[in-house]
Amino acid sequence: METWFLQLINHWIARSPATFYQALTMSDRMPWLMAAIVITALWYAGERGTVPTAPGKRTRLQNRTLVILTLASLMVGFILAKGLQGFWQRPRPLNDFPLQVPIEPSVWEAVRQSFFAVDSFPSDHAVMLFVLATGVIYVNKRMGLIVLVASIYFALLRIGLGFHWPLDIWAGACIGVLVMSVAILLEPIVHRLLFSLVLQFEYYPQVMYALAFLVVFELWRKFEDLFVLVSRVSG
Amino acid sequence: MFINEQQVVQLLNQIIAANQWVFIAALQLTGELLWLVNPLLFIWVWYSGASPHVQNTRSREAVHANRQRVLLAFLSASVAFALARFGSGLFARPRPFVELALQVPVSDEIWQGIVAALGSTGSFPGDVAAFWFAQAVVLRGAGRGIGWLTAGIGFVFVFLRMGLGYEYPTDVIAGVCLGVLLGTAVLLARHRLNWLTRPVLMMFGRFPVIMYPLALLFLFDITQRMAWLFAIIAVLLGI
Repeated sequence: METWFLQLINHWIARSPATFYQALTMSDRMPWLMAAIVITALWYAGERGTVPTAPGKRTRLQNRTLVILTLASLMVGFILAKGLQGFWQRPRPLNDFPLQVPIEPSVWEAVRQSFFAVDSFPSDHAVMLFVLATGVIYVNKRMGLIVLVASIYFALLRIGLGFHWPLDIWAGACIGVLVMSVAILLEPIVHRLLFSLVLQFEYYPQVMYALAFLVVFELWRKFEDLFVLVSRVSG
Repeated sequence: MFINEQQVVQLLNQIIAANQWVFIAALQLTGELLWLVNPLLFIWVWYSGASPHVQNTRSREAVHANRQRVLLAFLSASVAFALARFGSGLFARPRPFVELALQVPVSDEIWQGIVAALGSTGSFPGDVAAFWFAQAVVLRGAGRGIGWLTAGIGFVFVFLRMGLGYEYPTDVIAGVCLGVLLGTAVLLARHRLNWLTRPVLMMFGRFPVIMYPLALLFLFDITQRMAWLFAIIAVLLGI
C-alpha cells in the first residue's frame, strides 16, 4: 500500500523534467517560507482593542498570544522530529526504492547525497506544516483551510520526490497536530506569560520586532543557524 | 610618499589575515551577516517614534515620517545597488583577489567557493558601498545618529571587503559617490515621491495582514542580495 501510493505520486511528479524540477524547488524552502508568511499575517490579523466586538471574533492581542504559542510549538515539534529521526533510522525512499527521475543524474545524485545522513521517520516538514495548519485553523478557519491544503500539497511533493515514505508523513502530521493541540490546551496556564511577551512588543517595538524578524528568518532557514550554534556550543 | 591602491588592499589584507579567526569573522561579516543587518536597521527605524503611552498627532507624524524614510531608503538603496551591478558588468574590472597575491588563511575549498561566486563579476563600482551609503543618506534624519550608524556600518563592511580582496579603494569610492548621489537625489525629491510612499503607508495601516507579509518578503529578499526582486524585474522587462 505504501509503495503503491509512493509510486502513484512519483509518477504524477515525474511526468516531465519541468514538473520534477518545480517539485524539487518547491518542496525545499517553500513550506518554510509559507510558515514565515502565515505567522506574520496572523500577527496582524484580528480586531484592534482588548475585547472582541462580537462572539466568535478574536482580537489582535488574542491572536498574537497564539502566534507565539505556534512558533514555540513549531520549534518543539521540529526538534522532536529530528530526535525521533535519529532514534528510528529508516532509510529514505530515494536511497532505498526505484523511482522515476527525469532530471540530470548529477543533480539527482547531489540531492541523494544530501539525504544520506538524515533518516526518514517521522517527517520534520510534516510536523512543521501540521503544527502550523492546526494553529491557524484554531485562529481563523478560512485561512487555516488554505494552509491545510497547501500543507497536504507540500507533503505529497515530498512523498513523490522520494524524500519520505507516506507513513513518515502520516507520523509527522500526527505529531504536528498533537503538539499544537497540547499547546492549545496548555494555553490558559501560560497565558499570562504569553500576554506579557506580547505587551513587550508595544513597549519596546524596535528591539522586539528586530528579534521577531530574526526568529522568522531562522524559521525560513529551517533553524539551520540555530542548530549550528547549538552544535558549536555543545562541542 | 604615494601609496597606490594595490598597496592599500595588500596592507588591509595583511591586517585581516594576521589572524585566521579575524579573517573568518571578516568573511562571515561581509557574507550573509552584512545582508542581515540591513533588514534589522529598517525594522528599527520603522518602529522608532512609536510609543504605547503617547498617541497624539505629533507622535503619529513622527512614526509616519520615519516609515516614509524607510521606504525611500529601500528605494534608493535598491536603485543604487542595481546601478552599481550594471556598472560592474559594463566596466568588468577584475577583483583584487584575481590580480594580487593575497594572504588567505582559510581552507582552499572555502576560498575557491568565494572566488567562484565573486570572480565572474566586476569590482567597479562597489555595489555594497553604493547600497549602504544610499540608505545612510536617506536614514540620516530618522533619528539621532541613525544615519551615522548606517554609514559607520557601511565603512566597516567596505574596509573588510577591501582587506578580503573583493574591491579596490577606487571601487569603494565610486560606490560611495553613487550611493550618496542617489540618496541625496531621493531625499531632495521626497515630497515629489509622496504619490508613491503615501498610498503604500496607507495600505500598511488598512491592510496589515497583506502588507506586512509582503514587507517580510522584501526583507528576506535583501538577505538574498535582492535576487528575487531583480529576477522579477528581469522577467517583466523580458531580459
